[in-house]
Order: sequence, then C-alpha cells, then structure tokens
Amino acid sequence: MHRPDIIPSKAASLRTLTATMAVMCYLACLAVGALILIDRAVDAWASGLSQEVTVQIRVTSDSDLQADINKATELLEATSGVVAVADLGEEAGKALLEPWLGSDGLDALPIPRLLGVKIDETSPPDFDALAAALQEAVPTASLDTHRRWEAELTRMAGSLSILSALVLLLIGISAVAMVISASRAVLEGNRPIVDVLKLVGAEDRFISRQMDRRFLSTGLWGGFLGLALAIATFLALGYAGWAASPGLAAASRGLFYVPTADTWLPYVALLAVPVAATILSLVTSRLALTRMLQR
Amino acid sequence: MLRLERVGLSYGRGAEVLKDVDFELQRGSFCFLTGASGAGKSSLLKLAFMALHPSRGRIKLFDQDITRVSRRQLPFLRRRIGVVFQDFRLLDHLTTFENVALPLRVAGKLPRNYERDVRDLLDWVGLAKQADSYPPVLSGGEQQRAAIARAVISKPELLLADEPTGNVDPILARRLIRLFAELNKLGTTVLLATHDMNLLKHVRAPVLHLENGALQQRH
Repeated sequence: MHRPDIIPSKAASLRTLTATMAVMCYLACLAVGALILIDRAVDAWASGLSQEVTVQIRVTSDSDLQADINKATELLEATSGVVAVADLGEEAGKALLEPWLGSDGLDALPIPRLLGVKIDETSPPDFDALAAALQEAVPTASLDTHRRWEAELTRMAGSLSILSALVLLLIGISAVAMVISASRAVLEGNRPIVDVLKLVGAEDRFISRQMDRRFLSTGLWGGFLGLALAIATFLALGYAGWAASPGLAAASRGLFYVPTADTWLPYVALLAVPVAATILSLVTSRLALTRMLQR
Repeated sequence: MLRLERVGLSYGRGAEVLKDVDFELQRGSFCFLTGASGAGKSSLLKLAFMALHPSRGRIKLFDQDITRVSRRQLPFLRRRIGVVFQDFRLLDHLTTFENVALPLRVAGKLPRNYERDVRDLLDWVGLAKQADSYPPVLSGGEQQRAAIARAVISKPELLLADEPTGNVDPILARRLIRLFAELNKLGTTVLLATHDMNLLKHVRAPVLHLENGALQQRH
C-alpha cells in the first residue's frame, strides 16, 4: 500500500538550497582538484631535484679550469651512487646569467662552469662526504644539492595545501549554515502540519524524518551537479585552455589522464564531495530540525 | 483520569483567562464543558492535551503531573488522548483514509496492521465511500466525522472535543453527540466543550460551566 508523504514535497521546496549546494560543491571540487595537483607537482619537482645535483667550479686567476673540471669529473665518476657526470659547458653558465646581466660583456666575466651530476635515487652518495672530498681535491669546486630549493618548494606547496583545506572548511561551514536556514524555512512553511503531528503524538525525530528524503535528494542533486560542473571545468581547461595557460591545461588533463601510482585518487576524492554534501545535508537538517522542534 | 488543581492560565502578561480551575474527570465518565464564546473552553482543553502550560496550579493526567513531565514523554501521553478540533485540522494533501490513519502511522504501525480498523471506523462514521477523497472536497459534516474518526482510531482513554458540532446542522449534531455517547459506552472518557445548550438535552451528563475563566459545576 502506497503511503503518501505526510509533509508534501511541494510545500518543502528546496530548489534554492539545491542550486546553492551545487555551487558549493563545484567550489569544493575545484579546491580538491587543486589540492591533488599541488601534491603531485611537489612530488614531481622534488623527484626531479633529487635526481640531479650540480657541481660549480669557480674560475680564479691562478687555477686551470679544464684541469679542475677533469679532476672533479674523475672524482665524481669514481663515487658510488653517481650515475653520470656531464660538463654543461660555458654556454650553460652564460644562459643562466643572461636574464639578469644581459648578453653584452658576459664574455669578459669569469663565469663558473657547471657539471650536471645524475644520482642513483635508490642509493644516493653521502653528499656531505662528497662535498668535503671535492673541496679537498678541487678547492674551487662546490656541490649544490638543491636541498634549499626543495625545502622552499615544499614549504610553498604546504602553504597552498593549507589554503585549499581552509577553503574547503569555509565551504563546509557555509553549507551547514545554508542547510540550517533551509531547515527553518521548511519547518515554518509546514507549521500547521507539524502542529497536527505533534498533537497526534508524533515524536520530534518522526517529524524530522518526514523531511529527510527532501534533504537527502537536495544533497545528492546539489553534490552531483557541482561535481559535473567541476569535471566540465577541468575538461574545458584541459582542452580549450592550452593557448591561455599551457601549464594549467596540462595540470587539468593530468588530473584525470596521466597514469600515476594514484590514478584513482582524483576520482575518489572528487566523488567524495557529493557524498560528503549528502551526508552534511542529511545530518545537519536532522539535527537542526530536532533542535527547532524542541523549542 | 484528569484532575486540575487551582489552575490559572494567562497568555503572556495579559489577564488570566482561567482562574483557580478545580475539577476532576473520573475514568469512563462523560462530561460537558459549556460557556459562552471566549469563556476559556478551548484554553482549558489545550491545557488538558498539553498544547499549553498552565501559569499556575497542577494538572494530573493518567496519574502523572503533566506540569512536570519531560518533553520526551509528551508524545506518548498524547497518544492516549484523542482530540477533535473545532476547525478539524485535517491535512488537505492526505486522503480521508490517510488522515484517519495518521495517529497509527505516527505511532509506527504498518498499514497492513491498521488498514482493516481504519476502513471499519470509516464505515461506522459513514465515510466509507469518501475514504479516498481529500478533505477540501468533503462537506463540513464529513470533515467533522473524519476528524472524530482520527481522534478515536487509536482507542484513546480520553477524548477531548472542542465544539465538535459547531459547523454542522442540528440533525447531524444530534448524530455526532450519539456517536460520542457510543464511544463513552465503549470505555472512552469524554470531555465535550460546546456553547450549544440544546445538545445537553440528548445525553444525561454532568456539566462544567465556565464563566469569565472561572468554573462552576452543574448536574
């Protein structure tokens, strides 16, 4: 036997809440996507930096640059954990300085030479010992492990991650406030029915349960609509945004297509947004209604 | 069953609409509550079904002091009371059947356990053919009978009726009063508020008369 809703669905229209919930979920999906992209970018940068170190050989008036390069190369190649050593040449040093100093007069400067050293990531050398050995063998040489850059990048990425998490938190708080406000509107809009229910012996939780389905569907619709919009945005950025910002376009594509060890992560994380929105809508409305009915 | 001791009621900071009301309704009794419009009949009934809290005094219902009962217990006490409102308070989006079944649904009963009872009761109050009709298409008398059926479907121990014949013709009014008398014979305690003194001729029962918020007992 079909039992009609005690509180009619028309009376409890939550279209505005559904639309606002969709916008909130859209923003939440963007924040989640940003979190994943930041995390992946940091991993990629850190991995790139730790695969290679640089040796810088300064030019002094009493040194023989080529002899220093050869000595340093020999030492490096004999060190366990070093895969390859390459002299980056004079031009590489100039190219690095050119953006700051310009091309004029660079030839007159004693530009240091750079050696690119590829490292075996699985068993890297003892960098402190290597730096000391280099210093001893070639006093004009110094080892740059990029650790300072790596630390800077990690710190910056950490700040961005915290920012994204804060945005998510703010979205969550706003969504809770909206659901509470909508619950109040639904309750007030159905006050005569609620009064009759109370007088025939309905418990507060029975009355709030009558509105559960509406808030459940609000959370689901809003959540999946927001998710669909976010996926559309990532796809649009991935395909159409190439000309405007190739980096952003590549990142948006990478969110879904680039096979990594955690390819499933974006899917699960983004899918968690509508699920969380539904739970938030349901639980908040239930608690808010029960509290309002107790007054 | 129901006992009021020196009960006073005022709305907000206004004057008292009920003053020092004292009376006891014995289990299984039938009692009229009379008085002119505005005498406080509806307020007294609202106190009895716990829709209002007295400003002073004590109300005992089913041997419990309802001025001290917790909020959690209220629904369970209300399920033991049937109330017929002057304005029916039927839910327009539910059929007559669903309106009458509402107290059972609220109490968590399944349709298969109450469908027969509801249909029998609708038949008894003459609304079998209107079971699937919605309140807006029912006449005033039919709505009144649906409201009475909703009030008695869960076999309440106490039935409170506020001007139950206020919107019907004299013939139907007499039939409704007989209906209440039948329910009383089946064991339900009835307190019936009315301003229509003609109704008192049809059932021999004690009369509580309210005048300016004060209660006078007549037999």
